[in-house]
Amino acid sequence: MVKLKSNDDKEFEVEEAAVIQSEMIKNMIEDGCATSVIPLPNIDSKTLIKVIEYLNKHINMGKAAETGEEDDLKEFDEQFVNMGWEELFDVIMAANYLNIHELMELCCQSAADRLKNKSVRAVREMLKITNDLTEEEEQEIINDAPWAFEGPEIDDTVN
Amino acid sequence: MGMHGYECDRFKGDTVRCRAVIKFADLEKNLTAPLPPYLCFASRFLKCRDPYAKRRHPLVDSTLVAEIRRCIDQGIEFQGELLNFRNDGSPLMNRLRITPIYGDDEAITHVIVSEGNPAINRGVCGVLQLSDEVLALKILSRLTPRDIASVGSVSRRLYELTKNEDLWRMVCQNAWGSETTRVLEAVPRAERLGWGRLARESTTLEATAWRKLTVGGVVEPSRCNFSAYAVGNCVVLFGGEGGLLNDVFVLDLDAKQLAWREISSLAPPLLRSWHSSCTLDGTKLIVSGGCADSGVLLSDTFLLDLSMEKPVWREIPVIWTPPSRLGHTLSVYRGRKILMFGGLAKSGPPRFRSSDVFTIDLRWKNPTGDVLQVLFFGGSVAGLHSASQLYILDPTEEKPTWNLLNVPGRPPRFAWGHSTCIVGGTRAIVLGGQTGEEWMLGELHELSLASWSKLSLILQGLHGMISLDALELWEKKVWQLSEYEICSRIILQSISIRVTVIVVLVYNFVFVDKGTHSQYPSDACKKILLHM
Repeated sequence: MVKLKSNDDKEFEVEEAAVIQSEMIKNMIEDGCATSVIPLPNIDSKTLIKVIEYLNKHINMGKAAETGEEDDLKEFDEQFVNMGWEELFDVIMAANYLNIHELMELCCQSAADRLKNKSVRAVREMLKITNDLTEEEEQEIINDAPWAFEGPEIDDTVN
Repeated sequence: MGMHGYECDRFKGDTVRCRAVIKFADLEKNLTAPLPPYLCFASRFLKCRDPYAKRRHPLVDSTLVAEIRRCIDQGIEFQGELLNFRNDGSPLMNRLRITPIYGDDEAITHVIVSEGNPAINRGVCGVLQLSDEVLALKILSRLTPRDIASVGSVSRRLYELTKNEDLWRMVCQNAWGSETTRVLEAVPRAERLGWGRLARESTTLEATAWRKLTVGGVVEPSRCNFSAYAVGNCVVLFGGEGGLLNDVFVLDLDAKQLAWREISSLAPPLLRSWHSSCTLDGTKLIVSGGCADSGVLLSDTFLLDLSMEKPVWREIPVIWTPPSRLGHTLSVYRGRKILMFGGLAKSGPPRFRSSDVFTIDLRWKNPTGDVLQVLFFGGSVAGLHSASQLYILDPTEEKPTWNLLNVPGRPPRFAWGHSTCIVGGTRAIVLGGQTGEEWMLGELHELSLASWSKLSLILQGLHGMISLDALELWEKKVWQLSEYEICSRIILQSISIRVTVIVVLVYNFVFVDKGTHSQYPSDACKKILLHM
């Protein structure tokens, strides 16, 4: 078992087989420096719980193919990314920090899927971004590529 | 220096991100030894062979270096803004965090070095306004060109992020496939348009325009019903009717003055006309089917490697072939698959079997769900004279429909009978054709799908048939630029882009019976016409 500590000082025990999906921790284990608690100063406990959930589900990825559990994993992944933007970004950050490639891919793809074909207004609202461009600047960008701002595929809904 | 767990994850050409777990002893050694340029350049420091680590940069803050030293000495966490360098050597500020790990005996055994702090200013500027450029680009690079153009107007930070040329290359690749982006990347840098510009032009079709080309040289004997295809930047003409022929001519489109020249080749296929050709790898010409002596239809497939000094023809052995045919087209897609479309499949009175589609990929088979994009030009409906209009079809849309393109420049005038076209990267070429009363030949028109002058011509496919009665013009041994009329069906196939196209299918859907000059619109043609 490997002990991980979140930045709010909560400790979690994770099976080595699960946790080595993190390249960073795998390297630490190989270097023999995971005998004690590994502090994760960038990750809070809420996010770490999500990440551990993913790691536990994805143990022995190779085996899933053999035992026909691929669909099951796929369904899990779909459910897993069904979270709010804030949470998704926290997981992306954590996956990036811990260097968990598959999780990173999954979450970045989910983020991209949510942004695809969205209107500017919808993107701002979803991501809680305040427009800091002046009206002229914004108009200039739109004039530069009017094709990007019109068309039936553009989705103005926020979800 | 003993470094462990070093890794580097980069967004191509941009920020380098590095994390490492370093044995504390190694770190201490480095801190007490004459400080190798800068511990503070976390990534570069760790990557000590890097030239940037060898000299002090004027932006380096020496008090920060001292602070890192203090934190490590005292076993406390360090956080701060540090100088780092992009791959191109330009400096940027990065957040660095050095966290000590304590062993069982309460002594520091390792430190974790991480770059980029995720928790900055989230509330204020929104989640995608990450200070972390790499992560934001990782997400954005999965979007489409339209998304990127649009997302740039969301905020200043996103505007800056969407200026990244690598990001644009990625999204263009998402939209058009890697084959297309590879072709476009092969264009010399000086002549290349930015990816953002290409995305715009191929979406808006704003730079689409006709241009007339002048061609000199001799093709003898005069002929018709040959095939012509682009091999690299050359158009290669094979066989045809003028007496049955199997000779090869080349037109180098990179030459200052366009002119045909004959090349000798060994072991040519049967003399033929009404066959089709296409090209593989930019060097190999494929010829298939056609009509041999006494009207016998062929189904064989030959390959000619034009990169050889003395090109030799080789027949491609196939397990199964579609019925023998003439007047069909061949196109290559996804590198090695050949798409055969349409043609006249039975001897006897001309009758089109136009909607057959076969591919060859080791063996011939019907394709499944491959994305085609279609563009066609001009043509005639039996008894009607339609204009030289350009239509485009994107079958990837949920409800595909033909759309009329309004294109500036002087288009080839209306004609009917067979003609030719090419596309490579971004251009289509229409060649030859005839009117109802008089036969015409000798004009080449180009349809640019992006600013043509900025792109080198990368022709991928040309399939041409020109009427027998054009012989007169051929005998003048020059391609003349007389006005004449054209009828053609151009079908552009691309990976998924609207217009920047990799391959063209020319589909001649009005067949001319030489004896009677009557027309036989195909079934596919009728369907298309219904949608007009």
